[in-house]
Amino acid sequence: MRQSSIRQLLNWETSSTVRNKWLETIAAAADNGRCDLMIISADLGYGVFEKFEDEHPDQFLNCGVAEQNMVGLAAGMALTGRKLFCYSIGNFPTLRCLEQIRNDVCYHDLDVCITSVGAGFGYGQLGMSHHATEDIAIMRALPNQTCYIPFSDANCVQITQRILDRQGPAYLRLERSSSDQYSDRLGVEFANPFVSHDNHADILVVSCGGISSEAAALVQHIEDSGRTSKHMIIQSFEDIDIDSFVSELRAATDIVSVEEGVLTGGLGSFIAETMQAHNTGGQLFANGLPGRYITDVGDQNFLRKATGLTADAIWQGLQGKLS
Amino acid sequence: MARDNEVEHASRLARRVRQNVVEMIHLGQSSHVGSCLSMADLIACTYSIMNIDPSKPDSTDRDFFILSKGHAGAAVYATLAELGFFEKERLKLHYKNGSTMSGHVSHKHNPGVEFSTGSLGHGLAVCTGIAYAHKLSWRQNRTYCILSDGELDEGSNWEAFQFAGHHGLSNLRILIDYNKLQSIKCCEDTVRLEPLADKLEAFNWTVRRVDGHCHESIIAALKAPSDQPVVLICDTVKGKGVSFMEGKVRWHYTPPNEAELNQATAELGDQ
Repeated sequence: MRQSSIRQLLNWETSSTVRNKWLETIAAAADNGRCDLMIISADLGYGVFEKFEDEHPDQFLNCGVAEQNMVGLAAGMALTGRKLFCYSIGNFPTLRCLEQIRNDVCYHDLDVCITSVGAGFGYGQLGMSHHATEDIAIMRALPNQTCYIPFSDANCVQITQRILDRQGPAYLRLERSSSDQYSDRLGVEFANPFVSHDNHADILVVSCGGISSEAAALVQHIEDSGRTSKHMIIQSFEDIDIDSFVSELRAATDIVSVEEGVLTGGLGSFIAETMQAHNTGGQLFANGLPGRYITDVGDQNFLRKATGLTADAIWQGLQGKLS
Repeated sequence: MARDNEVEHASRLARRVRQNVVEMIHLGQSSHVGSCLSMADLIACTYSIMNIDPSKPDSTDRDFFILSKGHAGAAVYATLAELGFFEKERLKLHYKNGSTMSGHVSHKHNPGVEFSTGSLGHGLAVCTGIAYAHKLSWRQNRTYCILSDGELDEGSNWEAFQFAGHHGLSNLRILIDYNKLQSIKCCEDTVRLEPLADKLEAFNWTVRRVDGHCHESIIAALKAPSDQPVVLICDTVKGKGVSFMEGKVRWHYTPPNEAELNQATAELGDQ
């Protein structure tokens, strides 16, 4: 059977272009002499890693379905001077081996990037075990962890290069989908936060990750209603120009956050913490997932609708509440 | 680092480690003296053959040691102090407020400690990663790890056993401190480990069963070549060396009081 046919059949795993951009960026670095790089997969990535493994056999390892061992191995290899990417999907590379990430990687300040594909409801139809919805809250709670959340293919290239250029623990949350959002405005280098324009706006919509597409549509709703709005995308909570972020928060009267993750400890919490710490004023309307497991069956778009994470639903919920 | 007689060196070192740990744990009023005493010979033998240099703790040629049963951290500190990684006076600060020497072994500001452990089931995977990286790079470094028997209840170890056996990590040597006691009862009555040797052989390891207090046997088993990773099942006695501590779960938790320290010191001095 031709490889392209196989990939079509297995499109639940091979369709992520954001993930492909991540891998391409690493491959380019490996091609250019970064022999310290290593990708470890916990037995996922069919049709994804074959080329990389062929070209860099000593820089790819399938450790089997053993995530705790994967992170332990990565920590050990990092002690010898390598830079590791630990790859799996959903919650497997995060929750399954959380203590290894905390104790072995973060506490020892090791150069290990935990990479998960399938952020939020990316694998929605597969059920709640594959809903990566608490990872932001949990990963950002770890001291010495730097979280990165690309919102588009091009942004993923920037972020992956950023990770390659730095050292230390990192968490990279990849969407399954593909996006060319704001490609005309995105610079060459990583810049966080990203803002859709530099003008003043009364209502600041803040998002992270792939759901930024809904956030962008929400900005349009706001502007269509006659108000001024601006879209800010947070790509990392730790690797951020905090002065710019605070300045944007302070300039807005209302802040609306949108995230494909639980509200507790996620993006909305990060914004609220920052607003309080810097006394920025304004009011925050945080939109995320409710505190319950999602038992509905459906793809990412279906589950976003089911949980109210669409531009239309959020806009309706804001009626009568904005300043 | 060359040593004339590894067995003699291990014997002297083990005696000093035992004396140090009973003093440290008494002074700090910490725990796990029984765990430290059961593995004193294991760590002494390991460090007697390792390629390490206290003056170059970060040498890329060095062998690595990680204590996976991190609760016996006092034994690591004692060993490293005796070998000259830091001054022995610091051992008196073990478990004290403001000290760098936490009860579970810590690499932070403690020269010679490669890795902090404390939650069981982490050290073997890390050692496996070190060994795998060295094998990829065709380096000659060896990696050593001491685990406890109760620790083998943790499934993460078996992921590492499988991986190391599959990849033939012959540069990996681990020692299981098999004192047959764990936190509450004996291993047999908690979660049976036997047939342990058969299990590990099935995971493609070379298994050597030794008297965990016979230095000659331990060193010989560590040094004998193999094209597989090597595990020493070391039959030990919890609290070994102090008669009233031997074979008792209580000494997993209780520090010796003044009288007990004096008696322990007297017994260890006679050995």
